[in-house]
Amino acid sequence: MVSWSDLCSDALGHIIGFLSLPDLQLFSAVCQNWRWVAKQNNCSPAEQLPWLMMREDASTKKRKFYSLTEKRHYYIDIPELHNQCWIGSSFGWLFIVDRKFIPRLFNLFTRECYELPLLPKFEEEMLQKRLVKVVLSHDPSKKSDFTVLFLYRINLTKMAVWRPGENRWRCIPCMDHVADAIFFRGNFYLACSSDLFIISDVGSNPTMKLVMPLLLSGKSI
Amino acid sequence: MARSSTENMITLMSSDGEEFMVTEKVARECTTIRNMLEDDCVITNIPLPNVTSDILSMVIEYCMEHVAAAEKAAAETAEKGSSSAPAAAKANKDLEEWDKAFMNVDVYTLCDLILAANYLNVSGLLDLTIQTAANLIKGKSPEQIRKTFHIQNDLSLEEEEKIRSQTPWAFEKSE
Repeated sequence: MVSWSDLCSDALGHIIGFLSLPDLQLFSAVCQNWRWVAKQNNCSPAEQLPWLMMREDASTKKRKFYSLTEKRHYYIDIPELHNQCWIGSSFGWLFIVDRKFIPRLFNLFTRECYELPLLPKFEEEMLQKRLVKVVLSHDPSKKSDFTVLFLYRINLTKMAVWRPGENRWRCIPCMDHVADAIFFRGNFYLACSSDLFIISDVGSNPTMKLVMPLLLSGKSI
Repeated sequence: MARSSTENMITLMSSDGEEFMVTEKVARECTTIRNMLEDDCVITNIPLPNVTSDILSMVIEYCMEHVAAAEKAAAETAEKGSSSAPAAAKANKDLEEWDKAFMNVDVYTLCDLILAANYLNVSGLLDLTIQTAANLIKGKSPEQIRKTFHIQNDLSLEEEEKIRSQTPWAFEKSE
């Protein structure tokens, strides 16, 4: 008779698919076999509402997270996030800057880290509120050839891109105010104050191309 | 079509030699058996060396209930031209209740049912049993999980300490 401790990895993997992230951690502390199955890459916990990442506790430096599903807080010590401020996340990767504005991409789950070049020179004083948004084209854990799009605000919002292997950010000239950016099916899309653009040729010479004038704005091009 | 799917009988033989006569429609609920039937349509006797008679009878009970529910829903749709939403919702709820009562088993039986559902590839039963197992795990500490499933702790103290130190936050609630 098969006992629960040596249930096949197939079945245990199915069970993991129904567990939340905290339950998965406890599951992996039950016995050797369960631990081994939980560590396999092809097992991921159930899809769940994302946790909200909040500010760090001033005295302990622990980061506060809020689980919407469980309606409770978790305080987690992540040394890599001490004294860091973060600007958005994609695919579980956080874009963080330290007090000297040195930027990094950091994966909360795998602890992988990408050191990024210094941010493009601001003409004005560097302030946290000038960092607007960061969008990744792909999950860096799965594809080494990805692009980071960084939006920052001087008077208008400006943009720069970076790809692994490059030693500086490349600014994308833009005459308009960029309200938001997403990556969708192979392209970065930019919603500007009046029109929708895509960024073409991120590889060598990133430029903005008009996709369509925003209908709601009522403005013509 | 009706003849082959409703009249044909298949004999399933458990590991301990007991024979179960089921309609082909019920047998086809098991994808593993369905594939066998599609490869060889004259097959009428299928030995299942991985499933004991008590577990096989439960799997058959589950498949019969779900086939009957599907047939009833189809018949109602055919009769009224279209299915009435409240009736369909009630039928679904009844089936859910039946599933819930069906899962009122001890953890050893649950384990055997998972293995049988996995081996015979009965997706509905696999989901049901796996979900039941996951519900028994949710919110429990590793020690409580071991107690529930009668699992021996084969981790050394050092290993346990290491696991705890990697994700101390996960252990906060349960202790």
